[in-house]
Amino acid sequence: MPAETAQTAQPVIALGVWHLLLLAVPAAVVISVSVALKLGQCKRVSIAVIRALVQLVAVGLVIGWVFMHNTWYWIVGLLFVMTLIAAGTAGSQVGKWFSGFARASLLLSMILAAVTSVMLLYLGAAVIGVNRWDARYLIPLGGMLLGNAMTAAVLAAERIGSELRQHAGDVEAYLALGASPRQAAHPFIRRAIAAALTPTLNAMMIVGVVKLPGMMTGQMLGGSAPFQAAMYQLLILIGILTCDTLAATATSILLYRRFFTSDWQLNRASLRG
Amino acid sequence: MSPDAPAIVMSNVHRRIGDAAILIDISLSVATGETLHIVGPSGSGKSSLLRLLNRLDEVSRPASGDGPASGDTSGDTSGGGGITILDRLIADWPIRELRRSVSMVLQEPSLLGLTVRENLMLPFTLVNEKPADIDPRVTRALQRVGLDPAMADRVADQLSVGQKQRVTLARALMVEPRILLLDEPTASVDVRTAGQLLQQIQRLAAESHLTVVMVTHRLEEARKMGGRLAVLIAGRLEAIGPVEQVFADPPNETVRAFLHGEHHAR
Repeated sequence: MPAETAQTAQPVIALGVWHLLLLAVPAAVVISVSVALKLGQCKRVSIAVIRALVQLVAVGLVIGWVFMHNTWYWIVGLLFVMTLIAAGTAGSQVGKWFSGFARASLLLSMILAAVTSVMLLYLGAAVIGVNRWDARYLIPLGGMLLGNAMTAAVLAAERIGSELRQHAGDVEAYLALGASPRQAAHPFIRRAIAAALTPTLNAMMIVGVVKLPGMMTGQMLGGSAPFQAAMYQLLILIGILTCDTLAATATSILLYRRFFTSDWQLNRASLRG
Repeated sequence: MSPDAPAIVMSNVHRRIGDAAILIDISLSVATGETLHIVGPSGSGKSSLLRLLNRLDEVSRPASGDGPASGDTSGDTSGGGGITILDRLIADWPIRELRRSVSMVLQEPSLLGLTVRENLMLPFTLVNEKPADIDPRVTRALQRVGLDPAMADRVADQLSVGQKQRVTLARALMVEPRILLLDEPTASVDVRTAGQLLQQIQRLAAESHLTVVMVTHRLEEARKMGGRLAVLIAGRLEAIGPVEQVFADPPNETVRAFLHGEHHAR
């Protein structure tokens, strides 16, 4: 492991195969409890442990490769692949509201790419002041922004579809009074965006008080001073909140129109989901 | 337009949803200032007909043997039928203007979590209008439908069903529409309240020379109010004419069975 720890006291202790074997002990305890008490969780737990192992080994190797080369095309390439995976995951969850997985994924990948890249450039270049392509900053920050923006887009899409379906009567009452689709959908767009922001806002309310956030914990383990780790946590929280807002807003605005015809009618077929 | 031109003309109108025929070849006209009651068994297409008249739904092409089965052809008389509202093809109306001229009260009162006053002002706030005389207007609108003007600042969702229905009616009348569409306005209120509500509708219609098209499931109401009666059965217009005439002399057995069978059932 390269020792990139200029400001730290000492590098973090490296984990190897021996450590992984020791981790099998608590995992085995979980499985034993499940067997002993007939909880029926053996299969799920085993699959989860194996998937986590395989995925983390793979991602560790891939990101390690990118860190080693540390060139703009490897960084952009990795972020691009991450965006596609995020958009595909989101698309499979909300495809029904977009008339299809392909369409949903395409639109969402554009939203995620736009929102995340702007925010990442701002955080990296303007706020932190990274003055070259540096995987160590861009990959972790980009990954966190991307993951959260994806969740926000999914929550917003899911919510706006279900709100409009549930409140079709209210929407038509608005339309019947001469409201445009935008006016008729506005209360429900608001609720969708609020729902998309809730997880991040809740996390911000309790951050540091009830639980220590992942990035801060990781930085402290890596040897950063706690105050610096806290400042980086603030930076990423503001970044995530911004990405969430932009992704949820863009998704809602692109999506709500699909539930109306150009003659200001509610398109009931599209609401069946 | 000439003063005695019909307010509504439907000619050979079809409405389909997917493969299901909801309305089949409907032709009728409603004179200005007239009240037309639409009755029929549930699922016969009464609400669907109403929804076409302010274009909440679109007219469909008839399912002909050779031509394309569906598609929106509102006002396009070449393929299917058309609807003319106040001498103008429905598709030629700017949609907002149409919906402010042809006001609709849906079956479920939908008061959107706003106060009574906000509800009444909604037709104006939606177009960023702010009439100078808001308070007198709200007071007058509430009095017209028999509500206490002191109610204006209550949250409308907390009112009784009958009161909500009146607020919805008052809201529909705020923009002085020419045509009023009512979808079972008395469905969720008791008979006494229903009677009062209908009297008010009748009076309002007479005062402002309003054309009223009203879906109802209480046949006695239609008889009491008078006007004309249209009987829809399984998507077809089976009878239309002055209320008492249709009752006295139904054109066929289906209509007779509905009008008189329904009578016993209630």
